[in-house]
Amino acid sequence: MSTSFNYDYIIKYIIIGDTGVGKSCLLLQFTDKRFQPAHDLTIGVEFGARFVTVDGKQIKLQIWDTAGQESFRSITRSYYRGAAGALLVYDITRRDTFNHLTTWLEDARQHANANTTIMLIGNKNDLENKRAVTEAEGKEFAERHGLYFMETSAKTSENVEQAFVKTASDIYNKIQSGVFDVHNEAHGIKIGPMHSGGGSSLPIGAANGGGACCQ
Amino acid sequence: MDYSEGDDDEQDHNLQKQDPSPQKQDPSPQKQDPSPQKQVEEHGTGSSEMKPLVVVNDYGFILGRNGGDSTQIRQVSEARATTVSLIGDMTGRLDPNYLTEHERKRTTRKMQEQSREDELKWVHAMQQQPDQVKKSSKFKKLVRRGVPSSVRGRVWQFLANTNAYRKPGVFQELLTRGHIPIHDVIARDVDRCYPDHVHFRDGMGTGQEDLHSILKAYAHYKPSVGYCQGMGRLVGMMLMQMPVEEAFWLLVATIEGYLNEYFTPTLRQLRIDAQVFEQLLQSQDPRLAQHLNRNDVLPLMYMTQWFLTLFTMSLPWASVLRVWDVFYFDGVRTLYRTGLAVLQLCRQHLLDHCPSSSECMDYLLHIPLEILGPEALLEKTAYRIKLRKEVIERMSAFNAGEMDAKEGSTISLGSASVTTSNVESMQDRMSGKIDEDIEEEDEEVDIERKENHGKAETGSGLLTVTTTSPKITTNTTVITTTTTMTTLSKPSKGIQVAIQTPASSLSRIVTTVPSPTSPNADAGMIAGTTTANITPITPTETIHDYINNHNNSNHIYNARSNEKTTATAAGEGTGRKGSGDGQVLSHAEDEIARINEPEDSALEKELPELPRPRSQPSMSRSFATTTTTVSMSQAGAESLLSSS
Repeated sequence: MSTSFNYDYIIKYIIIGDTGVGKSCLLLQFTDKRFQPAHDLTIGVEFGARFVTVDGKQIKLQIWDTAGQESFRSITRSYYRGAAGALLVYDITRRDTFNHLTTWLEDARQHANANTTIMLIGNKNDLENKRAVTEAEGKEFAERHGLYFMETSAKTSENVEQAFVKTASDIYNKIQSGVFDVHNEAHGIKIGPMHSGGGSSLPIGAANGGGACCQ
Repeated sequence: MDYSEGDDDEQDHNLQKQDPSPQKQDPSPQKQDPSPQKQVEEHGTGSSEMKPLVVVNDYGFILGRNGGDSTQIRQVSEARATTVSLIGDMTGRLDPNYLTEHERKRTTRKMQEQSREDELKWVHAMQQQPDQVKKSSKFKKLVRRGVPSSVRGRVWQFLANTNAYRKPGVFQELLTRGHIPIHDVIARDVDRCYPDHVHFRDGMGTGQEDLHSILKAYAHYKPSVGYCQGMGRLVGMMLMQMPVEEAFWLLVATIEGYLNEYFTPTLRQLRIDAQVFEQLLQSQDPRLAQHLNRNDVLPLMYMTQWFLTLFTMSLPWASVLRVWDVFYFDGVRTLYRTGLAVLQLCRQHLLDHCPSSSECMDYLLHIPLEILGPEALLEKTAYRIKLRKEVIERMSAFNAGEMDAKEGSTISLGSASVTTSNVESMQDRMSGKIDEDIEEEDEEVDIERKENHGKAETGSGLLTVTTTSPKITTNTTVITTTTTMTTLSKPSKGIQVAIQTPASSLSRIVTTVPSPTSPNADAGMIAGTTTANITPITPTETIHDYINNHNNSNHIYNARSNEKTTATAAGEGTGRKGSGDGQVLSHAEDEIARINEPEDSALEKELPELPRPRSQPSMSRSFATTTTTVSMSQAGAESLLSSS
């Protein structure tokens, strides 16, 4: 990953939600296409990256996977900065993780950019027999707060790809329509070296502006 | 390869004793991995069904199940690092790849002999008081060499003074207590703790069971801490070295004696440490600090895992054990040293190959373990980083003050910068200008407050601090600081303004600008040219008290006008007394001359031992019921020894 610089945009994501809802598994499923039930706890933050193609553009997603325990909130807040996309995850088998969404959302609204695309994810939908939150409830919550919504399974990989890509394409649309200013680092988007400028009013070669990259 | 008696070999007695599953070790013909590993054929304890074969390294970490999964890559490389380090470790600069079989055997034998000698020394040491041992440079050398695995668990307990905390029967009593909500969190985390270690990967095994009971008991023992993710990694490590009850008390001693307020719900001390770490990095390797800073990579993003798990997630296991050895001897300072050493080893890659935050973070969170073996990390790097305990404490206290002020919405200033004077720059050290003398390693590190750029919020007003660039001529210090305060509506006792000088030789300068002492100065200008020697902050002082106390004695300034003042602080006076032992020199040149003199650590030596503000042991209230207190005594030490 670190060797490849052929992309049009870099977009920063953050994954948030209670501990044990499957944030790290979602990331791993998305970046490595595998499910690892036995993995270490996330202490502080984990990090992963992958390329997706949206509208013919190569987009590099850099994803920050955060620790879910309450104590780490004060630290997690520092990752919101510059996140263009946020995946807010709960566990459909644990009601409390759904109930806590409001506080997570408050955090996101307060610390992230106002235009950050937020995708609500009800994870572990392979465990239908243990379901404690209906899909309708998730959908309703998302609509009420203006979020995208999907139910996923990091285990079976159902909808995982879609969740990340859907978020990316929404962000891409925001870039196209000028909602996100790619020259403003706080918006969580950077232009890559491949960027052709086609279809967008953005100048070529602005990638390294603002001291984002060294030299 | 036979390292079974090697210093870093962790085929620990306790581990073997506790592991219920009969292990048969034989070479694994199917595996091509060259690293030391053992194939463990597992006979399921509860079922007749055969479990898959697991390949583990010398430390019990699983290399791959049935030919590989995610843990493989990491653990294989870890094992490789282990192999390299084991040889290099004890014998200096040998590269095992170039050893003949004969040499290898001789090396191993040497290591065994050394290990036996060290064992005896430690057994002897454990009859003394831990504090005495910790003061001894002889034992410092010994601990830095690595504690022999046969006594490692006991040495940790001894150094942590576990006997002072241990109360018979309490652990058992805690286990009988009922369910509390945090137990649910613990239950969810237990199988996410060392899932790649034979001892802990099995949900039905004693490893997870012990881990679970210690964490649950601790949540009862210390409700103010409860449970924080990361603690499991500590407990797991302890359980690899000692039985469950001993591990519990070591956890208690470790948190209270070393890591107080690290695991509290706000992670307060960790956040303070992150500030201190940033300042230390800034002083030791400004270029790297700037690179990371420019890419928005803050210490909190990578050092959280390092500090909260005591590096158990970030280093090859041989290094982890050695870090723990030194940690119990030297305290939290070890974590700073190790962290800075890790960065030093990564530095070139970060600068050359990580042009953005994405690459930086990816690298910092997944540093190839090969480069972090004990010799490279500790002997060649970490041990050579000079950090005084008192300095860390002072910096910690200062940052705590700043943080409290910030969170209490009083004055907050930008980040401070610290320069280690007399410490060669990172580059110098890498090019070989190294002072290797262990005895002399404690040198003074001075604190220097950086320019505080921009704005700092006060309760309702705005405080703007601007600092002009220091004017430096060769060997001359003329530092002009202009501090503008506007609309300082909230009463405040003082602010500190920092001056960063480009040359580290000028690092002893700190400027303290007083608060306006009269009402009409509220919106006034303060301009001054001041140089002052840094004075220690005592843990009990708030930063404002500190400034207030030291203003009168050590610093001259002009607070109410644009008038420029040149002042120097007393050379080695201990400003803590707050009395007038400061001596004002009339000419800036005198100060310059003094600064340019060779480092004099008299100031440091005069300092009384400062109590560590965050490690005041406080036994939990829940212990009212217990009757016996075992204090560390000769008898205690003996009982500890005889318990083996």
